[in-house]
This record gives sequence, structure tokens and C-alpha cells, in this order.
Amino acid sequence: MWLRAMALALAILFAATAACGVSPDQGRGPTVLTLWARSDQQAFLQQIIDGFNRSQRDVRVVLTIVPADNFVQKLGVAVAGDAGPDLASIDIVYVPLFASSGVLADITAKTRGLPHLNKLSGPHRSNAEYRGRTYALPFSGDASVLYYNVDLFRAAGLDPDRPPRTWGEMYRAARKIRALGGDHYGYFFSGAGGGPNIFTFTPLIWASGGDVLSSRGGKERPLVGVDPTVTDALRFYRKMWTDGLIDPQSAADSGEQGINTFGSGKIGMYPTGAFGLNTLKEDYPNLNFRVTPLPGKHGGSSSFTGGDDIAITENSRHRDEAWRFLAWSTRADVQRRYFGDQGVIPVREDIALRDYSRKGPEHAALAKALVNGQTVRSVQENALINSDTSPWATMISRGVFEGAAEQAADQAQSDMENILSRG
Amino acid sequence: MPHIAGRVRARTSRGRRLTGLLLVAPAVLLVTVFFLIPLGSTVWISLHKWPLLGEPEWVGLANYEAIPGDRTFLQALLFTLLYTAIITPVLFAIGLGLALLVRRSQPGVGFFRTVWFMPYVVGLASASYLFLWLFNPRVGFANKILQQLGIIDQPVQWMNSVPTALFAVTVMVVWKVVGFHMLLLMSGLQSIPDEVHEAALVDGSGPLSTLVRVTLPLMRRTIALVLVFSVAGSLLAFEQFFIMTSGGPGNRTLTIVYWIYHSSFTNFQLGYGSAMSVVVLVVLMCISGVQLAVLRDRQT
Amino acid sequence: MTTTSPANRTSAAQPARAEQPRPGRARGMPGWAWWVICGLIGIMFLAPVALLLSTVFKTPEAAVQSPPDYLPSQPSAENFSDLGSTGSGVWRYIANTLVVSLGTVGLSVVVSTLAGYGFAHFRVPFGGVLFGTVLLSIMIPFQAILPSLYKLLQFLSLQNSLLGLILVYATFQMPLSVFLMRNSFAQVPVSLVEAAEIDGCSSLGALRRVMLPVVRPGMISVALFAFFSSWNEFLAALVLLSNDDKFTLPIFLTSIATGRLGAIEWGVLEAGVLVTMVPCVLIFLLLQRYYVRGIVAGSLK
Repeated sequence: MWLRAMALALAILFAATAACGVSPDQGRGPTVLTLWARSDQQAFLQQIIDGFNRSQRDVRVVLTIVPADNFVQKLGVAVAGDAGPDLASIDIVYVPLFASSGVLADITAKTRGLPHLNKLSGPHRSNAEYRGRTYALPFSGDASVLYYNVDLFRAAGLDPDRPPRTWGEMYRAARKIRALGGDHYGYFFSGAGGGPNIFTFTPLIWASGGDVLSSRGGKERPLVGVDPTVTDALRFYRKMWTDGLIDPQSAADSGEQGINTFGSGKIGMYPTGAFGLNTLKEDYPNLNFRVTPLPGKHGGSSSFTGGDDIAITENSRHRDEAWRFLAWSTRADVQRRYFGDQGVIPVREDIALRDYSRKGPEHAALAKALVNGQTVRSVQENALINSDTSPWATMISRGVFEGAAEQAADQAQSDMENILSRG
Repeated sequence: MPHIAGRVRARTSRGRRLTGLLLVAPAVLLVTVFFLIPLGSTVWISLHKWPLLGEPEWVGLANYEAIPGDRTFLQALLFTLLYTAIITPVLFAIGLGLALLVRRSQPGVGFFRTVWFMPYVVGLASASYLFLWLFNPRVGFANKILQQLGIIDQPVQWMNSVPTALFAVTVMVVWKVVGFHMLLLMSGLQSIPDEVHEAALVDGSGPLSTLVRVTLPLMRRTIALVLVFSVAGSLLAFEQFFIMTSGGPGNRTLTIVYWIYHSSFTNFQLGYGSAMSVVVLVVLMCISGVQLAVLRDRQT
Repeated sequence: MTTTSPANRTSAAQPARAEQPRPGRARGMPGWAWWVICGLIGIMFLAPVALLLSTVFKTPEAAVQSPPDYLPSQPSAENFSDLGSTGSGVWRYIANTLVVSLGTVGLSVVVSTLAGYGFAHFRVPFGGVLFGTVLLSIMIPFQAILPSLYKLLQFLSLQNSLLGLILVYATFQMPLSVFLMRNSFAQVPVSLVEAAEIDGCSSLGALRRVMLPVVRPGMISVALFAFFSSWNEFLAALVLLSNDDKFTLPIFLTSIATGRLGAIEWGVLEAGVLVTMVPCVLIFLLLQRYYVRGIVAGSLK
């Protein structure tokens, strides 16, 4: 009796779980596409999605916000488990990881028919390529620049119309602002985060002719311990730090405090991206600031081009409908209308340089930075750079706050090589 | 079932063997498919660059060669060993103390045994979320109670340093599993005849020295097993750190299983995660070897 | 590995077993001191649960008050109603967890009863090897083969499925279950089996009519082990389940703790902890005899 009853119960249970596993397909009505994005993009994304939904009769996009901290993991594991979204807005630095992991659908053939493809941001496009195939389209843009406080520049006897164009000038400006005394500091940067520093520290290296990572010929190779410019840049920060020009809170900040600290009006210079612009204008209307490109050691300038690509996932069963959203979102009128607010730069370079740049001098500088910028490309970008305990983040904090620039760079080099050697 | 002639008996015996095989077949099948195959393929996967989806790529021993240079792995290994070295004696000492308190039947013993053992049936994840809250510096009770008892002056940020985070995790683990250790040690204690203690006490030995010189050596085997359980469990620790410390501050409370999990499912390096798994497997096999040696030692 | 008879040890650990009561004396302490010490330790063990019970019945606002109060000023069930509207609602997760744990219990009990019977009463070809194989997995918990287990379930299309979870849980429960059941069957006297067969029972008939009543305590132990471990299992569920509406309760707790933006809603999270804990505690209190006996028999093999 026992056995038979149990066997029966078991059979029922299995039937029940099997039934749960099959989700019935919607019969009629519009095709519903899910789009996953990170928490910090909610505001502008919802407007775009609403705009798209209004323009379509048989397709609807629904937004799901995933906490930024576990976006990478959730998206990968969900798609692998056939439970992912149809569309994903992905930070361009993570796109190579997803493309190489088989998470994104190959859209090479579809992009060939896109007339405005070459008007889209280059770094966004190059990160969407993996082994000659295309896995995403540029979606939203960002770029790093140096924000500086005009009032503090004036008070320190600096000419705000002639912002620093070399590291030496940055150092001297920081020194003069620090000399104002009290809790005025020449510089602030988020010293505890890998992400903020790849965004704002790498352009200093690029502008000086150096690089942190090479992916020539499809073979990735870290350069942090090889390229002397990296050590130079660490020493430059180190000197500002030991001379007391950098706000001490920089050491522990992983990106949350920077904008408010600069907004308080006590910081001379602070490197960040387009998202700072609106926050500062709204929350600190009295702050008199401008932006300028991040300079190289002896001149020149560079920027980190960031933002998101938009991709169709491998588990999407509505790839044609999903493609409609991709193509729609890169249209000139859409980029003009929906992007450009809330700290997002259009990824259409033509729109960025024309319509977006008309919004003001800061916008124009950001647009130029986006167009002239570069990005990093690695299938292990998160492990190498963005995660809080990455070799890159460790190198910055050791090299700047502990002062062992060369050892820090060497250690980062071998740790990065180690990560890239695994699979 | 007729059993008259030898010929029939032989057939019955063959039939019985077949029946026996059929009876054990489902268990063997489950173990083969969901244990032996993944066990074998762990080695296979570890020799590849194996993405989350899509085609794997043969890399030979590259994943193993990367292990010694992986600072995070070495750090996780050291931390896991440290955690094991702390939690094992703590659980043993407290478990033994509790076992000594309730080893004999007397009024109240059943109640205390039940209360002390009960957290063992609560899940490790639930217990971790319970203590994550209790040790939350803002809303938890740990700081409040310790302040009221005058043990600390300022609220402690428990998860911001390794020693305090480890302390919080240890408190949770003791609460959750010490009842299990108590139970095993108690049954070990009970298997020693009372006469042995009495003889020792008559010889003028104090209770403590009786415990150390007479009782504990006699329950050597139980103790060895309890230690093996606790060592094997601690080496595989995951939930408590995933939930309570998130591996922080700065990866310094990352355990091996946590790092395997992270490498496999956040960095999507399943090949490398498998290579580290093989290393863990070897360690576990050694521990099982010790366990077997202990058992054999007792039987000789 | 199995030459000692578990039966002796089992009975030695039974709380019910009568021994000479010797209050206090043998431990070298007076009776009142024993009560005080045990009572204080008891309070330390119960305090977390008491604080939990008090907090989940606060309002969500009072539950995140700093510093916290010991008792709710205004009892409220709002944390529980919030729990009902978090994600797919707590009932969904309770149902998932029930399906997984009852499935694991059923599969473990049936498969290990059959196998225990086979190993104990039949000369199975290669029986020693097969028994050793089943027991092997006790030395290697699934944490140690997680990546390939994930790949296997992906290959079998059992990833992100409760059935996949049941199969994994039952498998890793198998060594202990089969071991316990084989020992239970080994205790059934051969004469009893023979008598049944002389009466004309088939093998399965003998199992059902004669032996099941004898091995029932073993089956209950197996069922309890399977229940507690599958109800509470975390890591495999975390890795294998990716759809919110398939989560089990422990994974639901994680999504309460991380899923919402901003601060954690502690009252709701701890209400979830309580919901996850209560069934285990109740079942333990009802059936602790079997559970404790199973632990002692299974561990001190």
C-alpha cells in the first residue's frame, strides 16, 4: 500500500512539475518583448520604451529593472536557462563577455541592411563585434571629461577659460586650489572602484600615448605592467595624493559620493561623465562649473566612450520583432528626441555633434569626447577591471594610496594575464 | 512460487538475482546520471574553455596552470582553512560541553536537548538571513544587546572587517549546527559504560581529568567522525558568507566554493571553475581517506 | 565500514532509554546550577527566534527603526501581506518548495527502499561494487561538482526546472538513504522473509506485507532527511533556477534581500525567514524521535 501510494503521489508530482515547465504561448494580441536594463537607466529607458510602444501596433516592449550589482550574472544565467529577456541594454564593456559566452543572438545579417550603421559610435560598435560577427547595436552614450569649478579657479587665480591641458597644469591648478585652505581640495576621484577609474583614469593614459589592454588580432593582452605610461599616471595621482591636493574621501569612494562632493563647491576638478551634468544642474543650481577634455601628460586629450549597447538574447523567440526595437532606437529622430536627456549622449555621432551639442558648451564638449573617445575591450572586462576587487581596482588603490606604483602595475599585469589564461 | 526441485531452485535463484538487480537499479541509475557523469565531466570540462552557452574550446591544462597564479583562489583557500581551523574546535568544545550537560536522563534533559538541537533543522540560508539581520548595525539586536550589557560602547559595523564578520558568522554557525555535534558526542559518551567513570573517580581522579584521560580517549572514534564532519562541512562553506558578508570586505571572506561559484557564474569561466572543483575534490578525497583510516584504526 | 551494528548505537542515543537518573552529582555540580546553566544556554538558543517573532509582527516602518525595540508597539501583519505581494507572491514560493521537497521525499523513499531491500536480501550481481558506488557520493557533495552539474542539467533541459532540482536532491540524498534502508532491512530476520515466501509471496509481496512495517522507522528517517535538506537547499537552487516564479523559499529570501532597489525591507525579509523556518521546526518537533535516530545511525556508521 505504502509503496503504491507513494509511487502514485510521485507520478502526480512529476506530472505537475512537468506541466509547470511548459508555459503556454500567448495566442493573439501584440507580441510582448521583455527588456532588461540596469537600475540607473530606468528614467530615460521608460520614455524610450513608451515611445516605441506608441509607434507599434503588434509589438510591446516591457521593461524589467535588474539591480546593477548582479546584472551580469543574472542576465547570463537566465539566458542560459532559457529564462532571459528578449532584449538587453548592456554596458558596452560587458558586451564582449556576453557575446563570447553565447548569450547574445548573432545579428550580423540584420545589421547589414541598416543604412545609418556607420554613423553610430565606433567604440560601441567595436565592442559589439566578436570573432567577426555582430551581436549588438549602439544604444546610449556616455563619455568622460574633467569637470572644474569656475569660481574656485577664479578664487585661486587661475583662468577658467584656459583649463589644464597637461598633467603638469592639472597639478598646478590643484595645488593653487588646495592653497585656498580649509576643506578646499584641488581634485576628487573615486579611488575605490574599478569602473569609475577605467572611465576617468584610462583617458589620462590614452591621451599620453599609452594603453592598458591590447586586443590586436583577437588576442587579448594586458599592458598595465608593460606600458610605462600607466606607471607614470599612477605616480601623477600619487604625487597629488601625497601633496594633499586630493580630497581624502577619494580613497574609500567607489563612485557614490563623487558628484555630491563636487557639487558641494569645495572641489576644484573632478573627472566624470555625462550623467553628472544633469545631477549637478538640478541639485546644485548655484554651482558654476565647466567641462574640459581629460588631458595627456604633455598635451593632447582623450575620453572613455561608454554607455550601452542593445542586444537580442539567444533565448528570444521573437528576434524579428526585437530587431524592430533595435533599428527603431538608432533612428535619427528617435536618438534626437529621446536620447540626450538624463545624462545620455546620443550614439548617433551626427546627432550628438549637431542637435545634442546645441544644448550648451558642456554638451558640445561631451559629444566631442564621445566621438573622439576609446573604450576597453575584453571578454573578461568585469574580472579584470570593473569588479571592486579586480586587478585594476587593486592597482589604483595600491599605486595611488600606498605608493608602490611599479609593483602595483606589475602585480596587476600578472593577475590580468592569469585571468585571461583561464576559461 | 514453487520450490520443489533443485532445477527450479536454480532458476529461482537466477530470478532472485535479477529481481535484486532491478530493485537497486533506480538508485544506481540516479547516482550514475546525476553524480558519476557530472563527476567525470568535471575533469573533462576543466580541460576546456567552456562558456555558459555555445562551443567549448580545448585548452589542455591551462586552467590548472592558472590556479597557482590566481591570488583570489589562494586567498580564498587560506581563508577557508582559517575558517575551518576556527569553527572546528569551537563547535567541538561547545558541542562537548552541551553533551556533557545532557548526557544522562533526568528531568528537563529532553527539553534542553530539543531546544539546543532545533536550530539544526533550520536551513543555513534562513539562519544566515536571520543573523544578517541580528548583526545589522542599524536595525539588528546584536549591537543593542551588547551595548546594554556594557560589552561595547559604539555600534560595531560587523561586516566591515574580517574578524568581526568572522565572529558574526561563527555565532550563526554555532547556533545552527552545534546541536548536531552535541547529539553525536552525546551518543559517544553514552556508549561508554558508567563503570569506567566510577572506577576512575574511585581512583581519585577529578571530573576534568577523568574526562580528558579516560572519557575522551574512549570516544576517540566518535570525536574523529565529528571532526571529519565539521572539517568537510567548513571546507565547503558558502551560504553563510554569500549571504552574510558577500565575500567582503574586499574579497577577504571569500571561500573556495564561493570563488568557484563566482568564476563559473559571474565570470562565466566554467572550465576554470571545474579545474578548481577538481582541486577541491582531491582535498575532499584526502579527508575521506583520513576518515576511513580512522575507522580501520578502531577495528584493529 | 559496516561491521559495527548500528542498532546498538541507535538505542544508546535514544533519549527515551532509561538510565540511572543521577541529578547533578555525576557532573560535579548541584542540581540548581545545572538548571541555571542549561536555562541560560536555552535562552541564548531561543533568543534569535524570539526576536524574530517580535519583529515580524511590527509594522514595516517599526521593523527598520534604529535602534530596534524589543516588542512591537503596534502589532501588525503588514510584513506578511507584503510578503504575499513580493515577486510572484509567497504562496507561489511555498508551493514550489513543497513540490521540490515532497518530490525529493517521495523519490528518495521509494528508490532507497527498493535499493535497501535489494542490497540487504538479494545477492545482487556486483552488489558490493554497486553499493560502494552509491555510497561514494557521500564523500563528494554536489558543491564540489557544481559547474558540470549545471552543464549536465542544461544538456538535459532540466535546468531552471523543479524536476531537475528534485532529481539532483534525491541523488545526493541517495547514499545516506540507501545506507539507512539497507541497515533497516538487514534487521529483518531472515526467518520472517522465508516464512513469507513459503506462504507464496512474491519478492515484492514479501516486501510489502512483511517488511515494510518493520522498516517503516527507517523510511521515516529517510523522508525526514530528504525533506529538511531539500526544503532548505540553497546553492544548487541558486544556480539552477533562473525564473522568478520557479524560486524556492531560500532563493526567494535572496530576491527579497537584493531584488528591491534601495534599502532592504527587513520586516518582510525576516517574515520570509520565519515562513521558511516554521515547517521544518514543526515537523522536527512532531517526528524528532525518527530524525535523531536516523542521524545517529547514519553518522556513526
